[in-house]
Amino acid sequence: MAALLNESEMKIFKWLIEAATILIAIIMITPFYGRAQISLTLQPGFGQAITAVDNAEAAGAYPNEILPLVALLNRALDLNQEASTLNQTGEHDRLISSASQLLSNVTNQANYVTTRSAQRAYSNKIITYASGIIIAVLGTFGYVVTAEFYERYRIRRTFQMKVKRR
Amino acid sequence: MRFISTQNRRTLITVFFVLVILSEMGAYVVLTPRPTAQFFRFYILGKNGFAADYYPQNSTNLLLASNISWYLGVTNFMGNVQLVEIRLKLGNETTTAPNDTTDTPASARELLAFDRALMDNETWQFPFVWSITNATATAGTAHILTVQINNQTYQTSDWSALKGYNFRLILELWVWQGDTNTFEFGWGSSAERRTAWLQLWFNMTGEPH
Repeated sequence: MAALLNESEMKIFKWLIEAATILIAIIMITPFYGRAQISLTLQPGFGQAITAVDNAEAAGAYPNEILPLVALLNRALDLNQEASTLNQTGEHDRLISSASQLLSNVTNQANYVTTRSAQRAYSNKIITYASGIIIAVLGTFGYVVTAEFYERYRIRRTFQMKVKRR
Repeated sequence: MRFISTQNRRTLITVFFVLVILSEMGAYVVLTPRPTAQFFRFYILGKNGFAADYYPQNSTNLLLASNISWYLGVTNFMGNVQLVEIRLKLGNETTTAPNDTTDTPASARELLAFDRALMDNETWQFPFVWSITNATATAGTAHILTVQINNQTYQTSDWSALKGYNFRLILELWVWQGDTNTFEFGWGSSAERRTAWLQLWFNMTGEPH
């Protein structure tokens, strides 16, 4: 080897070997982090489904609307788990495909719930703020009636006064 | 009305606007969700569902095929649906434990994981029954070869401890991150990151209880 390479090439060769050794050492020292158990095929589907469910919740969906979506998510997780224990490619692919279909359903249903919840939340907001105006009108009316009665009471008391000589 | 003079009219308008402001403030408070602390509760209980009796006869020195019954639980207080994963790792005395400051998981090898989507305020608790089904000892080191967890047998590779002391099971809570589409150790809460993990130590020295 030394005969084939000149001095400068030998230096570069040594440097490359040292660099490779250091790199391998760093990789060996790095702790092993457990990989995600969810199939790589399903990861984008899970991401979309979870985001869609999050959006539905943020839009004001009720827990009874979210519950079926979470149940479907858990069903997809079960299928993924079941698929990971199988060795037969055909059955494995079928389960992953079912899980993927479930996740698509979750995303679609969650989007529908988001739209419905957003409309409901908007209506509730309008109703609540309008109720504030109505309460203010009623309160003002109550003030007018009370003031009227108080005024009458004061007039009546004034004319009911008795003047006594001491 | 008779009493509505100019002065009274002014008073009425003032009363009306004060009431409008107050009621609209009330409406805003009702419509605005209050900020709450976001966190997970992650726990492990003994066979009776209490934080006690983790090992048979309260002895941490385990024997082959002795069943250990625990309950693992996670409660979601994050305010929305979360996808969580409990990762089980097999460690010994030299294993680097998870670091809460740097949010790094344990260096030990992962054996299996349990996944679940949780609604807000939902608790997921399930039995975790395990036993050591095969082990050997060579040159003063105990090696656990297979374990049975919830009726499923798992092969462990190189789970060993010097003289059978200080084996440990490490359980870490990983949470799905929507931006990366992967599970990450811990979760983000306001501006900071938090982690949750548990570990239980045991020995397997081959001596009777």
